[in-house]
Amino acid sequence: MRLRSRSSLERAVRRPFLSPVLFAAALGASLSVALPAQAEALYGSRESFWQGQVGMRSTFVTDPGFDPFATDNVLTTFTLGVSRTIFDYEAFSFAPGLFWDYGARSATARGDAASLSSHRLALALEGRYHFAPWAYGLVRLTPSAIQQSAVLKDPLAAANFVASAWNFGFDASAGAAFLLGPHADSSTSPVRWWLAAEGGYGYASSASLLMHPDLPPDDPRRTGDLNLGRLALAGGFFRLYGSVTF
Amino acid sequence: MRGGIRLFAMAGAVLLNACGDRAAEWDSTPQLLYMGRLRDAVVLVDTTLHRGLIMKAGAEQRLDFTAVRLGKRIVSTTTSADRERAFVLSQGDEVRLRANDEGPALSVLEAGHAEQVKRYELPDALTSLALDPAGRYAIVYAGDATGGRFIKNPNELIIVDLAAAPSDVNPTRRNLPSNIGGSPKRLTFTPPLHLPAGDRRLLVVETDRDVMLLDLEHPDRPEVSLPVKDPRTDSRALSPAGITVDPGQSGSEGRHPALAIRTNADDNVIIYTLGPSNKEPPENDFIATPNAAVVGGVPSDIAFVNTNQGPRLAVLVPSSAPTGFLINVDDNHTLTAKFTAGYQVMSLVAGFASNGGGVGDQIMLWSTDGRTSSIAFWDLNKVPPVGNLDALKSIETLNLNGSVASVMSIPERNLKIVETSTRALYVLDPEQHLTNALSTTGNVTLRYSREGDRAWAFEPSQKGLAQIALAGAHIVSVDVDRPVADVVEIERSDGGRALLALHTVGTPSPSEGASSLPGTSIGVTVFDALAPDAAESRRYAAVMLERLAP
Repeated sequence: MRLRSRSSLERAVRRPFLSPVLFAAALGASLSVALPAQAEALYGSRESFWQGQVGMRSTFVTDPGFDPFATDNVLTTFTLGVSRTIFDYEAFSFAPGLFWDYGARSATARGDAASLSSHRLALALEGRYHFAPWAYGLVRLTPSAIQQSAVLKDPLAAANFVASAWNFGFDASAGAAFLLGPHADSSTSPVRWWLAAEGGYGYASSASLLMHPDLPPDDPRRTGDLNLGRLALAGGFFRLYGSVTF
Repeated sequence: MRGGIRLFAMAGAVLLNACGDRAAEWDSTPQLLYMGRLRDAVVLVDTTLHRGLIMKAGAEQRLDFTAVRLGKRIVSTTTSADRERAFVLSQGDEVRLRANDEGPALSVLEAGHAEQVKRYELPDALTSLALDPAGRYAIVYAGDATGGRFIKNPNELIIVDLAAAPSDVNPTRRNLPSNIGGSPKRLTFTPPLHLPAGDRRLLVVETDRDVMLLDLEHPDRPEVSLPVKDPRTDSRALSPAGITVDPGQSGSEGRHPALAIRTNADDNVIIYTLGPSNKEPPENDFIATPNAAVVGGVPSDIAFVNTNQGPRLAVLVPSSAPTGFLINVDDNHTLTAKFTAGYQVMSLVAGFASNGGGVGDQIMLWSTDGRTSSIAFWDLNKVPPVGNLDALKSIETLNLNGSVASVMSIPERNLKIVETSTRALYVLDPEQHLTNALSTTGNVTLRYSREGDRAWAFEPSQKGLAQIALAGAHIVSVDVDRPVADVVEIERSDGGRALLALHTVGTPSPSEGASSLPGTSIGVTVFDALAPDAAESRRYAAVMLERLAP
């Protein structure tokens, strides 16, 4: 069994994180220079815009591997996102974006404290149909990288049991957004506020929950792993978010 | 717009419907864990989840875990003396409303393939278990244990043939006749007896009124009742207190098998000789002929022994004048020996051989009454043909520094471990008359290797752990950084030996006995039993979570 210190564990976690960050930065740069086809937008700045999002996502994880970490199947995460309309034609538009979700659950597993945290970094490919200047429907395909970290504390263990992994995810969802205001065609402020909701299914690959005590590398103690099976943070989800566009 | 809202509402309802609870086992707390100690595995029997967690050891002190399904409402777990089988007795669902609800069962896990559990369905939820030392039978009966159904037949025996697979005819049930309210209290499987019609083993059932013999190989034959008194002339409430069996000698001129019974209040020892009966099957082919030997006091122990004068029945009477008797069963001729201490228990150093060859046995005598601070070896190779025994010549006394608290036999090495009330341990080699004394500072518990060549000493709930090489009583202290609740030595998959030191969170309860572990969490430190070194040990924790995930 390999023993790793917290710092080495963090390094191990960060290493695969590097490529998604670089990817996100590159995509952000490309969004910032992309020019929307504003000339054909049906609703002008209410159809073609930059958008920042803040919301909550609840995923209903039915994988039994989730059981040690939560008393129900809900994984609620905090969502931050940004997108940019890069194409519009009449009532249709296309806006890719970047999303970051973070959430955690904790419970006791036969008396032992267990917790799970999850980061999801996603590239959203969002198509919209603008019913009206104040509403649009959306469909979204979202490939993502999911980092999950599990910790279990047992009083007889040499150290906390930990397991972490990166997984691939892919969401398919649909929803609608409604303009809260301002509704005027010409406003003194370019900023508009929206409320949106979407639902769909998120696939995620599974990762091992073979947990090992988080001992420093120079700790002489030999330990055995704890096998809690595998976990895929997959399931139907529902997201409610507010957004600001400009 | 309304359609969209309706769509969202429906999607939300579907998702909320998926928001179920987790599997109930994660919310359960291990309350009581029985432990099966197989030759090559430890079985942690989780009464809460009705499962057994099998732990096997490999090289580098690694453990493999396997979970097996056991019955509901587990009442006991027992391991056979040779550690080849572990038995889990369960009562099943309390209320059986559906056809597939579970009934009482005896689950058997065998060394070598403990994962393949044999489940014998039982016709009744009885709670006591008697094991055949030869490994052929297990008998479930009511006994004195509480529990089971609110009404049960105390005279019912459920006989499981362990050599056969579970079937409609295995197990079988047998009702014993109740002798005016008597019910079975102890069951003893005899060694093969040289009965007139051939060698066979019998089951001896001691009730609280009499003794019965059952021919296990001929279940159609009636039981043989052996009364311990004449009810027409004796109004005392006598009950059997112990038995001993002489297998007899083979051949037409050989000695007939005999069974001796002592009672709780009589100064007679009743001896039944099993001679030919002249009856045809399905009647029994032997008949029990009684005889009584008066020993002048209530015996505390009896045993068939060999002396240089031939086989005798040895009787200990520890009352006011402690005396040992040697009784010739054939003619009731009795020799007596006066002891200097009131020894209550005896054990043969080398076991009883029915063909003794004229060589006398060595008997170890001791008492756990708290008043006797010595043990003695009685040499039966110096028995005169007539008259009284010379205790000075035939008895060797070993004085201890405290009264005897317990005596453990290690048959594999023919050793005796004597623990005194002053917390001294004596490792005795009765054949060599060698003694090694060890002193302890606490309440030490001993566990033994299967080969009997070493013991493991630990103080429950303390961090002390030591290996004792029984030949020479050499001690090797073993460092362990968690309090030890129990230890088990098992065979490793690579041929070595592993010592599993079990740790629990929670205070061990002495009332639960050696086969149980309390606590909510279990950890295991695995040592190389042949070279116990903490630096090479490996710690497992949260063991009761293993194999819970699908």
